[in-house]
Amino acid sequence: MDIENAKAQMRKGVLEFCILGVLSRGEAYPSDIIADLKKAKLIVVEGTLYPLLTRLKNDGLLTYRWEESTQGPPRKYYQLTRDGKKFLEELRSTWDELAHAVKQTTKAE
Amino acid sequence: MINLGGTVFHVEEDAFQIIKNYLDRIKDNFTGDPGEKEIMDDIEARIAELFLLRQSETKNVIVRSDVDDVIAIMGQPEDYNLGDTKQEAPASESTMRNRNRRVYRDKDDEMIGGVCAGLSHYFGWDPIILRAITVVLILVGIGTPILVYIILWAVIPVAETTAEKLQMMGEPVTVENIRKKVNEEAKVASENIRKTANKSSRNFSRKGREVASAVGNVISRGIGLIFLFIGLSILISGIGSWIAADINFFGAGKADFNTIDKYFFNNSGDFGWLLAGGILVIVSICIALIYSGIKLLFGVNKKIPGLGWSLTVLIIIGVTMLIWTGVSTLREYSNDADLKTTYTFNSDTIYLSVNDDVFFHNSIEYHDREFFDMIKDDGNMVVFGEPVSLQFYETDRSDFKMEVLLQAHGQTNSKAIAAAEKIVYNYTLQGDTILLDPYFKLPENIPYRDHHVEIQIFIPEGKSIQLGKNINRINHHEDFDGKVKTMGEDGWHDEHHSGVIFRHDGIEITRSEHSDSVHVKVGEIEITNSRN
Repeated sequence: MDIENAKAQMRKGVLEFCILGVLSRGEAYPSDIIADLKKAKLIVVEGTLYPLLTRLKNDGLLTYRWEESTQGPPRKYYQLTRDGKKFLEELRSTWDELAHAVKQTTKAE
Repeated sequence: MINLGGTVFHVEEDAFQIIKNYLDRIKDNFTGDPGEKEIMDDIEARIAELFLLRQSETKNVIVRSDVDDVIAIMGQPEDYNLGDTKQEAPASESTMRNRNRRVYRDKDDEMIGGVCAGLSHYFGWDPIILRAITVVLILVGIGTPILVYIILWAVIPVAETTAEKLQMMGEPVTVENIRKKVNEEAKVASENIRKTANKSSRNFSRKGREVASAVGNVISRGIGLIFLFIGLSILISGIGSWIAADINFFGAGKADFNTIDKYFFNNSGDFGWLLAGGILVIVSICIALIYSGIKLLFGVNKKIPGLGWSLTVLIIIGVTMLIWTGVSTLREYSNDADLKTTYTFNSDTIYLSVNDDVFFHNSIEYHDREFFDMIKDDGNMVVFGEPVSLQFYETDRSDFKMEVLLQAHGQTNSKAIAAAEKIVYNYTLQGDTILLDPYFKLPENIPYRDHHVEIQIFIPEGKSIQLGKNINRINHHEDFDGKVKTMGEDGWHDEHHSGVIFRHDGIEITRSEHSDSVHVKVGEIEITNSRN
């Protein structure tokens, strides 16, 4: 098995979870999301975020509205849809179960 | 200049290349992705925002360091596509590659429409080979293979997505790749159904744009080919004649470099300057043609720094040399002078002959004479091949007249006269017999200033001239040698006749010695009476 690919898939899944988590606290502009994720050291570069946001939006989990910016092009403000909220809840419980299971099984003697 | 997210930025050239390359590589990551356009728009908008933060009142140009900063923030192209590793497919052996290979046109490597490049990828050749074959086929087939090209161009699709590009080059066939491809296509399929309607109209306009770009390519490459051809042929023929000139400047028996420099120019060395100026201008223009030809033909954008202005400077220097020596030389020829000697003859017939040519060749005819025919005589005189000419005129006088004109040019009128006086032209007159030389001589230290000798013979009506040998050496009539010519009312009379009498009242009587017959013409009635 390709370990790099596995890592990437895992990171991607976790990132999507975290993005939904950030947005569950309220509407946000990508730079805000990035700031949060960077603080948590989940991503290092901004580029990673844009394709993820677009895919989550296309999957119907996110929606956005335009807002004019004084600093340049208009900005997209993202928020969770109802599906997104439901999806996040499912992810949360799955994650908790998983984290618990992982903790149990990988615990040192 | 680059337009990002609706904002136009002034970007330095090297920074522009980096940012363009960066965006292209990111785009490659998402080709085929249903969200491609949206993702790219978001990314470009963010980069625009970051650029705007780096601009200020005093600094409104994006430089290399700004681009580096932004890329550091945004991440490398591979950071954009976590987990979707389709572009990282490892290169595999060619047997594996061939199995999944398909023909596409390669727009990234196109000359006209990418047909040759695409086919070459399919067969695993270098595109230049197929292009060369195509050009040869078009030349041999008088253009008909162009039709084949157009058909191929219409039939073969363009490789647009990364997947198609991989397929065109030969994608490795792995389980991972196939699974990915199926997923991808399933995803794209649903999108496609929704978009079929407007996509087909978009395809149509895209085909139109493609045709326009192909036509543009053909035109610019055609112009490039013409430029290259003209530049190369002038250069090659120039070098060829230069090599020939090294042996003898204007061919065997003609004047060499030093002779021309000495006899035709004002200052010693002017001829060298004139040649150097000419060569400089021609070579510079050839290089410019070849350079722009190659650029157009192969669509190369790269500039050779300084080439443009250095060629311009060389051309200006060359033209200056040409004008300088040209003006200085032409001034020498600005005035002309004729020295005229006149003779008259009272007889009914005069005899005219031209001496044998002991320097050149008797068989040289008037039209074959060349300007640079110059030979050094034993007595240090230069003999000119061309400039002696004989002219016949009709006259109202009652007797023959001959004028010998010695002509030359000079910077002033007196210099022109002095130059003309230096002509040594030999001719002899014995009663009614005239004997002319086919050439004249000039003392060796006298420069050539368009020296000419012109002999004008004026013939009264009804009088005859017996022409001897070599006449066509100095006269443009080809068939005068050994003939008798009589001046009639309407110019030269018919050949082969002698003893011709002309009358003003319209009566002519001619007697031919050859056919032994008499020809009488009164008004419109003609009678020819043969004695046998």
